[in-house]
Amino acid sequence: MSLTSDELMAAFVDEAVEHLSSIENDLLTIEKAGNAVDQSLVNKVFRAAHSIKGGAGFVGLANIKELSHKMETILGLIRSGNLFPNSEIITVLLMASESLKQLVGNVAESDAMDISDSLKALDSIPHEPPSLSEKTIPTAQTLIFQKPPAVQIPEQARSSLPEFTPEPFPVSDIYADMQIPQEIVLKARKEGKQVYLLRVDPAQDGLFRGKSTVDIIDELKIYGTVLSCRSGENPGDTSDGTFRAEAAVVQIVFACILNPEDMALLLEIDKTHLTLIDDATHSVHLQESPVIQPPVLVPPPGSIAFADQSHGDADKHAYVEIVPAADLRSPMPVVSTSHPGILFPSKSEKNHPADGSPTSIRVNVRILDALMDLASELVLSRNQLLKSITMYDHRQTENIGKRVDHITSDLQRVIMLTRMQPVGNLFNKFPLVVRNMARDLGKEIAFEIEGADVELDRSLLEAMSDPLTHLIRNAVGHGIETADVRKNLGKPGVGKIMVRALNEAGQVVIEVMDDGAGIEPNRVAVSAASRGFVTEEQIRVMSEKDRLNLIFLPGFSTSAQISELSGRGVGMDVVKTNLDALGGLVDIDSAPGRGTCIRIRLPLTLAIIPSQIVSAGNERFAIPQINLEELLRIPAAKVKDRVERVGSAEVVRLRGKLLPLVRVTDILGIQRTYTDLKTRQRVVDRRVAVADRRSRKTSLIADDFEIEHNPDPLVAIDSRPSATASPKASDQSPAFRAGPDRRYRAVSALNIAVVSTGQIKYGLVVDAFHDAEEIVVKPLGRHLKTCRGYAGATIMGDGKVALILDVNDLSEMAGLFSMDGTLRAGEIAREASPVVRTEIDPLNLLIFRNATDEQFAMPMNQVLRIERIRQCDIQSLGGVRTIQYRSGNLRVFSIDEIARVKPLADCEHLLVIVFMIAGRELGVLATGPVDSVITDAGIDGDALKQPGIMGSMVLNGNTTLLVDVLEIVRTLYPDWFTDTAGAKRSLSVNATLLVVDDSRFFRTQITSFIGSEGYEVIDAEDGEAAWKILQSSDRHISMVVTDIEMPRLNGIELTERIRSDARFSGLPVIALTTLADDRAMERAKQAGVNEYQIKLDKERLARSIGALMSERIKHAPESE
Amino acid sequence: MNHSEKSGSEMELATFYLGDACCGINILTIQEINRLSDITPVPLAPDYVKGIMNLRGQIITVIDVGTRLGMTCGTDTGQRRNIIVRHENESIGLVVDRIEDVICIRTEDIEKPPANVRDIQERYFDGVLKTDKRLVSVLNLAEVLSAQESKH
Repeated sequence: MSLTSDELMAAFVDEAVEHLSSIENDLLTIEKAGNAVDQSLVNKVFRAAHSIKGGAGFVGLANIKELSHKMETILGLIRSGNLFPNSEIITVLLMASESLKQLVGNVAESDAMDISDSLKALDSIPHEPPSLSEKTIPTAQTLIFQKPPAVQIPEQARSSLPEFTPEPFPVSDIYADMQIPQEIVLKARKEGKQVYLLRVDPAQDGLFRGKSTVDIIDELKIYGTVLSCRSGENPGDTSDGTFRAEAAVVQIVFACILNPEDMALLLEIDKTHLTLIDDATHSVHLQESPVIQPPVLVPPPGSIAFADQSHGDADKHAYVEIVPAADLRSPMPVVSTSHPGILFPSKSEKNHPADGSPTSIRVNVRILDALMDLASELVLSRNQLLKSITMYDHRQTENIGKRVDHITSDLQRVIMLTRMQPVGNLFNKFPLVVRNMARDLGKEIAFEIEGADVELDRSLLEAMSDPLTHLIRNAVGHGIETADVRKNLGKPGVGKIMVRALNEAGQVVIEVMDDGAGIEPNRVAVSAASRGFVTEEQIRVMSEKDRLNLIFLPGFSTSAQISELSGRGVGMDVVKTNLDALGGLVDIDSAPGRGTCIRIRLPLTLAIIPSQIVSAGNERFAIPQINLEELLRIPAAKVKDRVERVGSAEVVRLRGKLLPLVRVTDILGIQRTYTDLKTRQRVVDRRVAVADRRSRKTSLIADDFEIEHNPDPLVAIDSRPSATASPKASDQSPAFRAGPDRRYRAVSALNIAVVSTGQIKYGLVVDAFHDAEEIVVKPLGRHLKTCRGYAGATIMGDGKVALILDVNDLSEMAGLFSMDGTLRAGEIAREASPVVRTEIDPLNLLIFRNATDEQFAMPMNQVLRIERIRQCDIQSLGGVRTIQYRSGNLRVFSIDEIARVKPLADCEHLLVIVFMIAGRELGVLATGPVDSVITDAGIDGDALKQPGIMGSMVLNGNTTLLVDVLEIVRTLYPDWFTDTAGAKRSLSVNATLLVVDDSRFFRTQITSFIGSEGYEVIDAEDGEAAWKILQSSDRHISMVVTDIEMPRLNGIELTERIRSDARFSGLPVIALTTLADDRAMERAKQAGVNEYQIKLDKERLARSIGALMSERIKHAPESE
Repeated sequence: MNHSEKSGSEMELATFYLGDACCGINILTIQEINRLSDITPVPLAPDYVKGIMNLRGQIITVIDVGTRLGMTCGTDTGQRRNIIVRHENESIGLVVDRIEDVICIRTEDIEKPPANVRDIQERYFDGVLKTDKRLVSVLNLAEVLSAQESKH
């Protein structure tokens, strides 16, 4: 042990771990195969156990050696067909490999660990036939293969095994040639090793085919100690011509713990090439050798003698003697140097800290090459840069700067690749977990893995091990029912668990699915309520999903009740906590009786993450993009309308929902600041809450001010006077307040980062937004470990440090969960209020302008993003206007190209509203201000209707034209739509659609749109009318497209009626709404709606009609 | 660490001022001494943590030793320095008011802290050292840098 260098030990552990990782799965496969044992697989496992044994013996780990040896014995029996690998035996082997893993995991203390259980279990397996089991136990006496008597002469050996050795090995000659001090042999034997004489012919022998002597020795060193070596022609072999023609035969005296049979198998050489040296032979030959052959005592010139340092004490005596073959093709001359240490550098001098984390990783050579290339390119660029800087060549410097930028990002990407590992490495341990648990619980489970080659940062992979194991254990333990129960439920007896990894939008998604009992949301909710996490009232207004998500509440699973739940709610909070630490999100989906799916979303790496930089107080902070949903800026004038107070909490209305607000400054206890527009400096903000609002008068002043000074045209100006509120009592003097007080100006705009923890969505109020950047995550020192709210820190471009905010921590610190519940309660209560709201469909629109005095609107859901460009950025090529967008070109157009409206305003800065249509991105040129409004204003579909304009409405006192994006694009690029239109026509033969909508505008819009797609359309003004048409109509209705909110009979009720009537069982129903609202969508789905589409998004509606139609036509012949 | 060295060997002590008090630490623990550069405060951190800073790509915690020891700090006379020490595999910055010279001492000359050193402070000191000019308090770096909150 003391002779072993740390490096060798590390190499052994690395290798052993690798072997062990495959052993388990291979054993499971062997078990599954049963009678049809795959011999190669058994061999593989055998060899794995074997290598571990060899390595352990070499580095002196007794326990590991013993255990792996016993495993190997059993495996040997299986291999030879003397033992059938039944479930019991495999279980014992698995158990042994498990304890082997533990031993290897802590080599330093492995010898002190108790492995008697595993040993006993292994011993209990009947070893039969006895002769064989005996053979595998290495006792020198019984196992010496072809032990030559001391006086045996070459002729005898030759005659005994002529078929294996065309050129029999003259044993005594070799002993004579090679100088092996006796003490070395004795010492090796004392360490439990056998000493062999190995004769390798690189031209023939399997493992060593074509290898140089040095490589052979290197390889052998893995298994044992090379005591002496001789390469070159045997002086006595002049009789055989073949030897001279081939590469030199290498003769090696080698000590290792393996028995001869295993050696032969391991090295893939013929057994006859292997001679065991016992004390007797050794001494006799040394004595007798001079008689038979004069020993070569002095190596010829060019030979090298050096000490093998890995052998410690024996170094003084052990040396490898390499005599280059007469033939110059021998690789040896390369190392004809007086410093043999170069060839076998001393390893024992290096001391590596033996901590638990792996010290080395395997990297694909391709990746290393790529890194080298990039490094050389970087050097090149550096040289160029230095030159151009000294030459004051600004242009050149700029160019090279760009290059360096590219190289750096490439370098970063490639270096990240070296950290990536396939998730299979982690997944592969689960079959065993599932098998063992299923066995214990008497369940039948089929386990599947998908996407094992998806790659993830190794640190993430390691950290995912526990949470994933937990989820899978849950699935086995609580998810899957026993076979009997399953059969009673009409499910297949064998349960299914699946782990799947996939790449999605630059993140990795890992799903754990089962088809077990599922989780009953109500039981989770009741349990949560009984434990005081939520109130009954909150539960009442929660969606099913919210209820399910309650199992992620910290401390939830400690309850005794929950562990009795059928389902998988146990320990989920722990899983979530683990994932939070990794920056991952977890989501649960469960259908009681049908199964559960848990989705985990992880960043690819923890080291570099895209983040939004914000500032609060005088400091900058980073918010990881994975948590960020959107950025929201509420202009000062609208703060009054959008921000409300519920108790002491602030909330904002966002697209009809209430979003709790958390101020970073309050949570972290730092002073708020804002930018004074006059001085451009950060100033401390003294207001207590946003809800401390300004008077009507000052509000108007604020608006004017904002128009003048606001540098950001994206911020809309709401010209509506805000509701009257008395000026807040403050320390400001009345005179000061009457003037254009800075407190009432645009500075009061609220910057909100809408963040999500996976369970809770809330608005993080910051003082200002900065850029989005890729940041390198650095850990915080130990003094800050207890400090909550941060996920680490990063160094900004200017060298200063910014903290990374932990969105989860912040929400907990703000006590957000309960507030969310309360707010939802309030929200639902409002909805249920007697005011009849059903007939009002709020629309979410994006308002913009083309000419400065004409206001337009388009549905918000079609908008991908808004870019700010300069007019000179627009290129006009072949009549098509484009701009550079991301890495490509984006076609842009202005509304006045189609609609008869005033031309686009001629200003330097323009906006491009990017949207997707017909699978392509397009941009509408516009001018500010833009704003998002939710309105229930009625749309007039007649008065201002014209090509490209659907209709008009009055928004904020301005007449606003509603742009028909689809129509414009169709007119501009008709060829984009030919394919889809053709396909539809062929499908729509005789198809009649029923369109139900109470709004005349939408009814005509949709009717004419669907009509233009080639379908027959009947319309109805509400559900009741539609129902009548369905029942009475002699025409066959192929599909119903219905609005949700309607008087008399709404869309949901209509769908329910349709579904409950056998006549219309197969009738597709598409529900339309103006707002994509999760809850409404859920309700609609429950009612039996096939598709849920947003009104005005004609393209998607057309696609979904087309899809449902083609499906129906496919099934039609069967049903009719 | 100084406890074990009381056998009588020599050591060099880097001395500095915290307010009026002259303190010293073993010079071998010091990695470098810098001017105070941009320190980012960490809200909600323990009061003795002055903040974090970028030390050539590494983010290190900067400790206000004066606050840690419960001493009244002197006014910043522009002589404040950041002593970067290496402790338990982590670089940590110590803000001191003024750097004094390096003195060579014998460890047996370090005496027990005087009885009137208050409880909180006691554990932060290995002892005191009388030199010709002044009294130097020898800091117990392990205690000063322990992440545990001081018991009051």
